[in-house]
Amino acid sequence: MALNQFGAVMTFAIELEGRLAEFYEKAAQDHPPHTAEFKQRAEDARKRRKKIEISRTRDVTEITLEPIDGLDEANYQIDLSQTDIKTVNMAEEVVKQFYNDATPKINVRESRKVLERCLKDHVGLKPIT
Amino acid sequence: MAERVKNYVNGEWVESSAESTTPVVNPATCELMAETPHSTRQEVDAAAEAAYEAFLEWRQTPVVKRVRYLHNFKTLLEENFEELSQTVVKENGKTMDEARGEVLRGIESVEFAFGVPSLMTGFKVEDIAAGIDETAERQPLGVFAALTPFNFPMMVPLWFLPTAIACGNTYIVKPSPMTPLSMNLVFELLEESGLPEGVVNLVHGDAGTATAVMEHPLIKGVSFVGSTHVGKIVYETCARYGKRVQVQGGAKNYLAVMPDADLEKSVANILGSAYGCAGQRCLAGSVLVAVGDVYEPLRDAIKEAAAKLKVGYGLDPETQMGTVVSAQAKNRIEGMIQKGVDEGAEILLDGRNVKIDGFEDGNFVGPTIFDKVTPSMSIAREEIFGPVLSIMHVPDFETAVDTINASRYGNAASIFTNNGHYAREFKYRVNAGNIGVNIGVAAAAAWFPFGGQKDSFFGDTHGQGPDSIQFFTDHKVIVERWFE
Repeated sequence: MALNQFGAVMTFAIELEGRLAEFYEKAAQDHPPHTAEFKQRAEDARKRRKKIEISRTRDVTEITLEPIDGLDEANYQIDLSQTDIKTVNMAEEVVKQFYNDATPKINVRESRKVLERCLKDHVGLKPIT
Repeated sequence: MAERVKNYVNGEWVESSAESTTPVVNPATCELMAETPHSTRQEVDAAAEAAYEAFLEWRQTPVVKRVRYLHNFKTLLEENFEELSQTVVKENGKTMDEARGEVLRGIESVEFAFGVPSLMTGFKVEDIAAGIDETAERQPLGVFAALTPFNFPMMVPLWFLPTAIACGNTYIVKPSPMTPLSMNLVFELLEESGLPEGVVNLVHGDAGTATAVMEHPLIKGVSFVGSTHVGKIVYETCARYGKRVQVQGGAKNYLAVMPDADLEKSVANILGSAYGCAGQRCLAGSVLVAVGDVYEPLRDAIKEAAAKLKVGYGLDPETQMGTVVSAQAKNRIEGMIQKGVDEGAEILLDGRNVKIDGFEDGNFVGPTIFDKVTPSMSIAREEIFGPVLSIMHVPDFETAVDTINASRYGNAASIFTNNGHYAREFKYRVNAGNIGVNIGVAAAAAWFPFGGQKDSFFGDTHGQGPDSIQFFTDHKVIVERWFE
């Protein structure tokens, strides 16, 4: 599906963070050495999800709703059915790529800042070894 | 059989006794969602009397307390944001983003009304004559009403209602019979906010119901948003019955693009202006005036971008342009497109006969572009209220201004330029109530007055902003002296 407008991008980001939260909760159970780290990541994902959700409604600017070109959710698909470490690290790479691509396409400053912050959060995560 | 929407009068949901109704149809799925009763004159009487009775106590309620109800109401609007947006999509046909934008703007109108305790203050001069003081106070007038359109079924009533009641008046809303569901949801939230009975009332109906509102002796003022044709009738009728009236009518909005404009950014914004809400916005860009050398690259870029717009059901997240509101609207718009062809304009993109998988009967009209349009053509003069953009090529800025000012309408006009001189001249000289500079939808925010000029507006105080305080209150001057 094309992420061809403000709401589509924000909704995809909301769903992505929601899926990540669930994924990290499960990973926390499956990987005892990393339980604390993954629990924290799940909590952070939930917080980001909430922030994006708020921005989708509070920052939507009716007079500057414009089409968005060049983003498709097909490019950011992640299989989160397994919680192995390789999947964790790959997922984070895809998520970073999504925020990297999507953020400049958003023409609402406040929402762009929210997505920039999400990108920063994900960039700040060290790969799990 | 579809459910009839109920009226809300004196704090109760009541069934209308009207025999005739308007079907409420989802314009994409064609599902019959409800029926709007054409409430009778007696039912308007009941609402007006309830509102008048409520006014006598409501005006004595301290203004800060009146505004507290609106704080409750705003919280409820936010809690029900998504449901409100979805309701707007289902009954109007716009996209979810557009509906969310509409709901947010409605909430902003409530936020404006929070300031009424400061905004309705009066003024005083001591010793205007020796030992005599003079004070001007603002007082509410009584019962006000709004006759509102289908294109922003949630937002437009909220341009008026929150400020009116914050000022101490009571209120009646008569929404468009095609889109009553958003207002029913809003009134459920108003009820939940704890407002006293009779302060806000909802009466559904058609033109007959509207006439009863305009003629009712207890109703002191009417706000109307709709077509110029109906607006003139509303203006004349309300004036005949001695009412305050503000009429926001039709539009033919021009977008001038200068050769120095940022083409990529301008095109994206022009698309939003012309095709947002399927062109059913009173601020929709309708005529694109390409100045000088920008004509060819602009025309080609607009055509390419418009052809890519995804038309569909507003609840589909991929949809960039939804439906028009009804089959009648679709027929009328397609008739106007044919007229453009018959009058000799060159059709670059034809939005007729668009079929959407799964919504074959939906009221879809695709993005349409005419080129080589002249000022005398119908598509350049008449409001289409659909996704149709007409391109005119003019040699210079002066001709662009003259062309725009020749229109009978004056709701909005925009210029796309990086040149401050042209921007200033445009703002200064173009006769329109709302001017955009690098913005194709020059919509006044809730804190600013919203109204057009020429045949786009009848009345003196505009909707929204400080004008609305003036509309919903009357100045009373007190001249006083006290003997020693």
